[in-house]
Amino acid sequence: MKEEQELYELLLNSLDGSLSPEEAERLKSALAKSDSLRAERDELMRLRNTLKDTSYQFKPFFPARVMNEIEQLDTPSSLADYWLWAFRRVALPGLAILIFLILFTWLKDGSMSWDALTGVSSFEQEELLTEYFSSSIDYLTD
Amino acid sequence: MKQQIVSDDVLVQDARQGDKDAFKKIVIKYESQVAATVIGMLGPGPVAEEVGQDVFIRFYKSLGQFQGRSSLGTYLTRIAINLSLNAIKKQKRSQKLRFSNPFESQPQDPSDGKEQERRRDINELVQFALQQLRPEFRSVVVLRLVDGYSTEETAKMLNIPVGTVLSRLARGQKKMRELIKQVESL
Repeated sequence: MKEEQELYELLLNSLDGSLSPEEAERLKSALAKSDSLRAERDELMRLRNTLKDTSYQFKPFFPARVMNEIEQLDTPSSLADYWLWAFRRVALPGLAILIFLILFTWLKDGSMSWDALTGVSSFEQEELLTEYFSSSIDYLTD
Repeated sequence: MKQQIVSDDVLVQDARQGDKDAFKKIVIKYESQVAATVIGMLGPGPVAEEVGQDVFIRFYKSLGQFQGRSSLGTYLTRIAINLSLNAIKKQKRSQKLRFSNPFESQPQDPSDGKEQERRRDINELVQFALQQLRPEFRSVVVLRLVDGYSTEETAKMLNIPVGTVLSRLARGQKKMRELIKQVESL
């Protein structure tokens, strides 16, 4: 019984070529003598061939169903999703532009103050009033 | 009309640039390979269909990560086996495990001859036995005997030693033979 079990193990291992030359020789002589071992080998081969030859298929139109799912992935499905989708597309470029403007101002004016960022720092209050009045006078004289 | 054969690299490259047709060609090309892995692991049915779709959706989402170190077929098979194992775990967790019984899923065609009928019976019996194996054995049997990967490739895909692949393969086949014998003796 034990020998039969060992031979069966050898038979299983032989199918994937993992036997030593001695084990292969032992199995070969056992196969020559035993009808039941040969029958077992044939059954195992049938099992392996069936697994290999079986055609596995999804239901019809599988690629179309996959592509439909992918289309849905790429399209916002609700208003909230749409706003999120739009925000993602606007937020990043917006942030990049803002960082660029801040850096530009800093390099140009050497300051990161609010006045520098908004451009007010280059005007004195007096200049602003003069500008305002002179343009008003120009308008009236025209 | 002569059909142009486009390499996987080109298809992946085009798909990355948003070419949906290129991605569809990938799906068509690898549908049966993914089906063999997923249906081999889960049996035919809605769960296998869903996992099959997930394989390609997962790949679509990670197109940028595919570096071509392994072939596209191997890459997809690896996703398929991992998602199938996850699906089995999920089914077990939710206590809804129900093996798809191939005996009830295949409609019989009365025009079939006896030989076809016999072959179908054997096929169904083998598929039924495959579904009864524990997932760690089933994954080895599917990759090695259904998908036809070598023991080394199977070991690499499952991240286990070659010796473990060989022992699981032997035990898996032995268990399947026992199950088939039991059913045949009924």
